[in-house]
Amino acid sequence: MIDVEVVETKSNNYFPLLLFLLLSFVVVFKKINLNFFNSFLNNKETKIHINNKNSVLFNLDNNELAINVLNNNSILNNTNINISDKIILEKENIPNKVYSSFPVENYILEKEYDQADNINLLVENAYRDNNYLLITPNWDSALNRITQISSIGDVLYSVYHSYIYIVSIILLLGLIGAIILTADNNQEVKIVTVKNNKMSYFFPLALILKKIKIYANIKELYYLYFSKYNNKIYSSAKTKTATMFTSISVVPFIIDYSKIHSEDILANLLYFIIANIIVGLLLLLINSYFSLSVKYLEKGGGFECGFTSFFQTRERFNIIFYRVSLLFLVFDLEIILAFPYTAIYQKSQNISKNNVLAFLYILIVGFIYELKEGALNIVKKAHNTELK
Amino acid sequence: MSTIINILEILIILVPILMTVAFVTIAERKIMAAMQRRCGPNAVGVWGILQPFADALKLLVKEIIIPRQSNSLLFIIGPCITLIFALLGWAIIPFGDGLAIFDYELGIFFALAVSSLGSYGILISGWAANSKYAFMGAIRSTAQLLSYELVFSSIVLILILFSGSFSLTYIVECQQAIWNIFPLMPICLMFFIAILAETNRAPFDLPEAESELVAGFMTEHSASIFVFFFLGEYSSLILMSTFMAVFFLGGHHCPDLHRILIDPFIFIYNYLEFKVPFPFILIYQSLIYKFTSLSNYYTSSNYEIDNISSLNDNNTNAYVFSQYFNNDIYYYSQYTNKDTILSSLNILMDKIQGSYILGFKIIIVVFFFIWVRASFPRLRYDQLMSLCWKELLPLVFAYILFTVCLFYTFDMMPFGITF
Repeated sequence: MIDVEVVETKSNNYFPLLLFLLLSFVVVFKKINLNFFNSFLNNKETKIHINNKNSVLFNLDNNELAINVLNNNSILNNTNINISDKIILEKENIPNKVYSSFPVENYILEKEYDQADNINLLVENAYRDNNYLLITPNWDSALNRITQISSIGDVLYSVYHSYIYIVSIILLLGLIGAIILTADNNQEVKIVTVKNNKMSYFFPLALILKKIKIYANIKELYYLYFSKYNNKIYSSAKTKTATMFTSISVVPFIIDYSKIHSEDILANLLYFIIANIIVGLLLLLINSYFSLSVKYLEKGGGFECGFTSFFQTRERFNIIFYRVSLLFLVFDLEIILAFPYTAIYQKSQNISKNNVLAFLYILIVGFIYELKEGALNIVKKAHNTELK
Repeated sequence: MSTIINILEILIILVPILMTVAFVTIAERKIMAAMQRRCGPNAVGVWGILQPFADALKLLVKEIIIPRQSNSLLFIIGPCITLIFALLGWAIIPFGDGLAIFDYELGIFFALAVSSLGSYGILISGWAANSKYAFMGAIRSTAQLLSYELVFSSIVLILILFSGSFSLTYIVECQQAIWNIFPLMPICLMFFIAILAETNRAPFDLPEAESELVAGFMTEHSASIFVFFFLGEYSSLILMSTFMAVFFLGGHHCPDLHRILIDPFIFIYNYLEFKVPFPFILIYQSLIYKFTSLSNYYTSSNYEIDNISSLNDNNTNAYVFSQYFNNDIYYYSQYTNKDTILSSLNILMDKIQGSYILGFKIIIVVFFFIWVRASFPRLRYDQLMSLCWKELLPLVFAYILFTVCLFYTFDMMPFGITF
């Protein structure tokens, strides 16, 4: 067992975090301004065509998205998520399901596709007249399980963003509360600080400033590099402000989930679980069949070096382990709440991004508090030791 | 009939995994021996290759000792849980394009769930042994697994941001053009550290530090129950290195020869023309490849090739695109216009090749595991914790924010649809 542990604390442990935060602000700054003005300038009118099958197709002027709402028959209709989708549709015109997305400048979505087997033909048609974005109602049944995450993301970070703020504050309080409650006040701890004076922090800052310049260069490089392909691909080349993907990505990706999602695959998983259990049982059986067993008193005792142990069982342990598990809960919740955002961030508006960033920033305040408090310094029996 | 095929599929995956565990142990002992200038096991079989089987046989003949003071049921169930959850993670690994036992769209969530449930086995068995050393080892191990689980899952979040999907198959397909290791080099290093800690390997093998706690949570376990821990530990090692290969090293994809030949010229051209320092070019060129190739994702098996070949006539875009990026389907469809059987055979061969390539990558990562074990001394426990909470987590969190901001500023949105 360790008697003495010296805790080395560097004075700037959370420096990289702050640095990246600063950097992210710098990088975002330009973009925020642009979006702010764009929201006033471009009031996009969305035209919604509703089929008999209740599949809604958006026709946006400027975006690269085509959208399909689920069938009435699908399972999602029975849940609250679909209702919340409708709320969004009414309020903010946010697309709620994206099934296929590839940028074509003008698209028309008026054909109805009823049959299940026609996906290949649809693709073909879509290619022939470069204007069609295809959406089939068949995808719904396959995507039911998946789309819930993205719809949660839609709701969470746009309409109900106030709740996310409340959650973040609750988590922050939980984090601080966990640290305060598990604090061991009786411990006399002398923390010996060992400072590193070798490296100044201006050097990496200067490097990063250089990097930002290079970003700008790289974007120009990109257009230069792909310009020859652009000309071939798009005879109607767009303005310079066109994004990368409007100029390049043309090939759609189509996954026919109706074929992948058979029940056999689920059965496969079940068999796999059973097979694993069988492996374990088999080993146990073989062992118990072949092994001898001679029992005597000393053999059944707990492990100790050469003597019977006096007090072995159920000892107290350091509270730090408990604190670690509490902090883990808070951080894990935070990460899980950030996961729905990853499902929607490609199509999301500026609002949802800002909400996510605000959510993370509030929790980072807690994180910095935790680091500054030294909440996770493990000190057992700290004696008055000093390093010179 | 279908059930027989299912069982066959599972056996095809499960038996090689158990064999690999055996051979990884002998590989570890041999490599460690070579690094310490001694010859390792060399008596059993040729070059000692049959040593692990002899060890397993020995362990299976030993007596199962269950201590008097222990909770005997939990004492046996704990190791079983560790083994089962270590093997269960293999269900979602894509060995080829869509070649997985359970090709699940939310595969990443499955992986996270399984890997975090594995820590229950350690906690239960350590508690049930009712011994001082086992209990302390279990508590240490659980705290370690919890805190490195955070790093693991937040790195996974970055990967999802990069690829735009929760399915492992899709994440692999996104790396057709460039492996994630190039744009995400620092994250890859952090991931390697995290998986070292997740599998309780050196230099993070605090739970079983011999000098302090005898053998950690498995102090009281013997015979086949010990074998469960052993198998579970090594299969989770291989599983984690498979995750590494899938997330960062391109899974079953081979580096594209066509691009390797062209790229150096582009680098040199960029350097001469714009005076961009070489390492930065490497990173951003890789970013560009990444986002251009994303739209190429295409599952070959679900689509008839006739249709595509007819598409090619009308659509020059795809043709040009395929010429440069060497998309498989378009590549094949150019040469085999009508012979669908031949082209589908080609695709099948590609899939089988893919699993070999994946295996090769896994072996390399496993070698790194062993190399690290031979080189680095063990950390102190507070150092371990501070490394996780004070160094890695802030950096990874900052990187999440950074990537989101980067994507927004440069309009680099990956197009994923499978969620």
